[in-house]
Amino acid sequence: MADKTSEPIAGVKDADLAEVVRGIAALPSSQEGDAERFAREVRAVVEKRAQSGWSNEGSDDVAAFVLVEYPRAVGARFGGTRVLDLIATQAPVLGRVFFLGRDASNGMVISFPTSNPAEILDWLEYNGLGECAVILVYRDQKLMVTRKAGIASEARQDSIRDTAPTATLAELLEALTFFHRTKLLIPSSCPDGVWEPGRENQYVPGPHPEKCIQRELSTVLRSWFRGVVRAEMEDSTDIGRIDVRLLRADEGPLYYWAIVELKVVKSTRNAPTGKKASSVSVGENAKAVAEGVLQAHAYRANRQADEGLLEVYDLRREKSLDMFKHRTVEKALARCNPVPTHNTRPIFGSASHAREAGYV
Amino acid sequence: MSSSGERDGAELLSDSEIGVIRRRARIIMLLDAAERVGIAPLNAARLHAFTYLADVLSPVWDLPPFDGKILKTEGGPHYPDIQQEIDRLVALGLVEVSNLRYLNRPNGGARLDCDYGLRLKSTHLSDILSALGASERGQPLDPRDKDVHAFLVDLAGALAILPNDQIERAATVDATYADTRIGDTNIVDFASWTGDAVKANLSVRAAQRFSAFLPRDSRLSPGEKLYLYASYLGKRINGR
Amino acid sequence: MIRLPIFTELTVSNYGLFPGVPKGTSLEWAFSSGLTLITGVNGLGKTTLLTILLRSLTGPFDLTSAGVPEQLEAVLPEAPVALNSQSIRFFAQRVADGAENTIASLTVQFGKQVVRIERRLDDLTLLSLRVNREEASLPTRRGEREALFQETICNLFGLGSFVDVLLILHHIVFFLENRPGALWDENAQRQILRALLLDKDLATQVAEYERKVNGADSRARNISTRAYNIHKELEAARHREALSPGVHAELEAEQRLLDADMERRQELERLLAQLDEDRKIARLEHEKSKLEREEAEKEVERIKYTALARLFPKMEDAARFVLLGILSNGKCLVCGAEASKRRDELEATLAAGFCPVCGAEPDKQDHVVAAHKVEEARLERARQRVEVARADEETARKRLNGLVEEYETAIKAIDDVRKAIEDRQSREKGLIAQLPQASSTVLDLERTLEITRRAQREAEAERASAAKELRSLFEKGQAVVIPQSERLSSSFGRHVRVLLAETARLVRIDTSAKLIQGKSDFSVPAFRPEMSAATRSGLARRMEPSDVSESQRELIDLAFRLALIDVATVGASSTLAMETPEASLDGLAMQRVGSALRAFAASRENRLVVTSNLTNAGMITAMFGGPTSKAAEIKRRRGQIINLLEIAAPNRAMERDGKAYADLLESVITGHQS
Repeated sequence: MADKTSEPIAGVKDADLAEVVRGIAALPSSQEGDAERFAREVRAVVEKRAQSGWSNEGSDDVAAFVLVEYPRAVGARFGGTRVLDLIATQAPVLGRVFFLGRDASNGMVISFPTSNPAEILDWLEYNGLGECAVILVYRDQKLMVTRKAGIASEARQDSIRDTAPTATLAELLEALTFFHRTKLLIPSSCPDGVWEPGRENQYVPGPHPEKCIQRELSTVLRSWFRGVVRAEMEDSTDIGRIDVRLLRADEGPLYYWAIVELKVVKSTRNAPTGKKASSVSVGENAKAVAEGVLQAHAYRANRQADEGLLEVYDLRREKSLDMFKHRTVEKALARCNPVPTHNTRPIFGSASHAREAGYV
Repeated sequence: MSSSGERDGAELLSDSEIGVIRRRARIIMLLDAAERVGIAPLNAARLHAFTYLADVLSPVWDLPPFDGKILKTEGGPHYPDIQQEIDRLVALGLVEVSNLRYLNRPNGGARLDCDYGLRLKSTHLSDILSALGASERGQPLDPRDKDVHAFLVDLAGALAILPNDQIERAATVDATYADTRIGDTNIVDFASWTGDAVKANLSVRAAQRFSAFLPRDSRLSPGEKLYLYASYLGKRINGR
Repeated sequence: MIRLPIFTELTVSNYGLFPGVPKGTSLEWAFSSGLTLITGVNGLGKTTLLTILLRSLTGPFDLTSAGVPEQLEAVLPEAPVALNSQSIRFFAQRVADGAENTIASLTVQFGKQVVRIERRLDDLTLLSLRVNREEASLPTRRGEREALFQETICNLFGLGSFVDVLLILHHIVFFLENRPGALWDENAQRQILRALLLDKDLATQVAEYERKVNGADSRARNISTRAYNIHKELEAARHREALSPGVHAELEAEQRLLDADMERRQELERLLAQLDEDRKIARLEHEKSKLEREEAEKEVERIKYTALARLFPKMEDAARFVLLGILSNGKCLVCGAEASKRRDELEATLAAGFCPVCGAEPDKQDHVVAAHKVEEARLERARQRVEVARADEETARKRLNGLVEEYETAIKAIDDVRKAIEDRQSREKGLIAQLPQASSTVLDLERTLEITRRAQREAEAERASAAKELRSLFEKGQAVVIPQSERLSSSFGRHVRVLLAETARLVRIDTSAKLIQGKSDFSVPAFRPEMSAATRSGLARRMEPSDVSESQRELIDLAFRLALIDVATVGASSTLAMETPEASLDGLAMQRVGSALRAFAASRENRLVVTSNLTNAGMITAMFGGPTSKAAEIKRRRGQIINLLEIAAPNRAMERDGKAYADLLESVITGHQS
């Protein structure tokens, strides 16, 4: 079917289609689950209000957003009223509980049923909604707390930003740092597949740690840069590249603004529990990093992107050796002009190791 | 046809009975999707428009169309067969009706209009939804129906972004429906969606054509195409 | 001595063109001696009537399958040629019912003998033949029937063959619009003179030998051409003998490569044939697998929805739901009244299987679909069938595409090889052309040439012998014709004087019959018209067709015919059936022509049958004998008119101008303006 896109269509102006495509960075993302999608959209709803100074809100501080299967049925139980187009409108959200679909746009709303906002989670459980994804928003703290799998599940925090994100290298680095700090540092927050289950403290990686990191990174970037930049994962494995492409769609023509190449360095290869994990040499790791340098550079040039970055995720037990000082990598760096922005992100097999290294 | 009493064994439904059940199942799926994205209850015109768009855009999800054709009339897509079954579903207690009101007809007189939603309290309904793959619980009779359901939810979500729920207007500006080469009271046929006849379905072609305006490596998921296409319809309604 | 036909009676029944007066009767006409005028506006059927007369006598045969040709060939056909269906259906086409019941009956006198001919007009079948009151018993087979007819007519005419009968009919008796001009067509002239003036046997012999000579000539010429070609080849071969042998080796090499290419082509063609078969089978398989998949999917649908149907509420559930909406706790929710009795009634109705809302019996209730139990295993099996069918279809499709590609590749390969072979062959030809021919080829050629030359000599001898015989026959013929030429000339002169303002005369010359291509040694007498000495030099000028106008040509032709009739019948009578020349003559000329024709009609028992649309009123009046006021004469004249205005089926021109026409006719008869 891809070939058929080459012909214009009777009655459909290409100019219209092109203009519509510019909204690509604001589309709900279908690549993660419904709960993640919901969280991203809720964040957009709330940040929109924050960025206009909470102009329509009263004095309340807290809002709750609950992802339910059938918003109307649930809302009707509590005498709720219909709410439409939360994303597009400036309808007030604080002091209310919303029962919404996964796009966080349409559903039902009631005023906060508990006098103490903190009791809302109990209220939800009491009313049989304890398994639903729930997001609590706190205005003063500029905080959004997401419980993807219900009230008893792990809480994740995101900030509510006063200003809209921009497509700058500084902000991208900030996002990458944020990603590293909150999602990779310690095993409990690490996405599945980075470590071989049960062997984290032996620093035995999973079979495809890069892929897992890539997926998680693109989710974070999509949320971070919603409306401005669209993060895409490179899908084809035969090219041998793992990266995240950032398509800029906020102004001017659509183009690839930045490429983030991902590489993993590790101490051992993957092995299931019970089997001996063979070790990975320094040379091998260096080769991988050097390759990453060259790929980041080449691909950036190839796509005429503004930025080419290399993120090296360090799964080694022994992290003292700086890969970027290795002879092989330095040679690669010397061949690149401009040199791709590069960082090494240490990932720890246990919380105590992270603490020892100075990460809180 | 007797009204009750089960018959065992090898007997299956006749063709016309199949048609009835099939249409009912479709309506229930459509309403379920509408409920999930919060645009239910829908009035009749909106429901017919949704039915039509689901039909014409099913190839975006690589699904076969439900009907494959629609009689083009001034008021937008309308399916008399579907309407008949909706009303029956109300009597069967599976669909509930709200907001009864009279609408003036253009040539005098008035017509009863109302909004339709699922009567989720019905135990029959939850079993049916399960069997159709529209529920997390239970096993669908045909696993492929899960894809159909996912598509309908995606489409409903996409249509939900239209301002003021202008879904019925969206159908009339749809690329295939609005094709000026087919006059009113003619049949728009978009059934064949493979081979050369893919040309007939302008809507799908439009949805596929978005990729032409993206850089080479960029991929759009089917859901994203639906959302973009809905945006395009919104644009057609309000500007142009 | 030949006898020319004299028409005496004609009946045409059940012909839509001539419904008759009163309607529904037939057209019946008795030809008395003298003039019969067939009159009517254009399109009423004048020509058709004349053609009925013609075809009664010719039957479904003529000189060519389309009728009489414009010009005759050097030799006549050996036997009469069957008419094509268009010509046969000439009459049928003109009426709505295809003339399926039309019968034409013509009675003709030949000297003292009388023959009555009855034919169907839709296919010209001969229905009856009565000679001198004796009904001939007709064979059932059409071919035999016509053969008997033709023999009979030949005898009545006194001619040797029916071909000659046709000749005479077309050139003497009938003078229709596609008039072959016997005077200007030298072949026609020769044939007519032969048929008319020579005795039966001599005439037949001459015709036979003409054919023989002509045929032998064709054969001889063909063989001669062949011999010539072989001779040329032989010369070329002898020439090549002198060339160098170095070309041999090269040729051999090319030959080998060529053989290899040929073999490869054969292989490829075999492969192609195989691929074609495979491809066709693959296509079939693909179609079948598609059908299977569709069926399997339908089956799944069926089972799925049957299972689903069970989950829907039954009529009782639906009924209760509806009732619940209005009769809850024994109170009517609509009006508030006590309603438990009513509810019980409705429940009872429901229990009996009737719809409580409308009272319908169970078999009228098509609202709720019946419920069947369906095993899950069955659905699972059906689904698996779909999976298998899908996989099969995919496989079949891949295979088909693969074969199609292979096929196309093979075609291209064959094309390439074919081109290579062509190139090689032309190279080879070039080489061979330089090659000395093997001696044996020369010998073969010499031998063949010898044989051919011999055959040629034989054919030429045959031709010479036939020619010799023909020449002696022609001499005999000349001996008959030359004495007649005086009479012919003077008769011609007489007629022409009346018909034309110019004076012309007929001159006999010796011409050559072109029976042998390229040679002219059959001397035959022929006649040519000559203008009288009207030039200052006083010499007579030979008349060419281009010297005179169309209408003058016709009149000269007419004069010639009349002269022939005079000479041929020696005082006996004939019929002349013609379409009068129209509108191309001035007033005086018309009178002259009319008088000349009247003279013919008035003499002996002649019958003159003419058609006219009255644009040449002056001529017609002259034919009648000039203006008159006598009532008896007028009555007599009316009796000589077949007035199609009254008899024929009316057409638009007639409806429009009928009255005017009738008046015109009246003035033509009387010669006075009315």
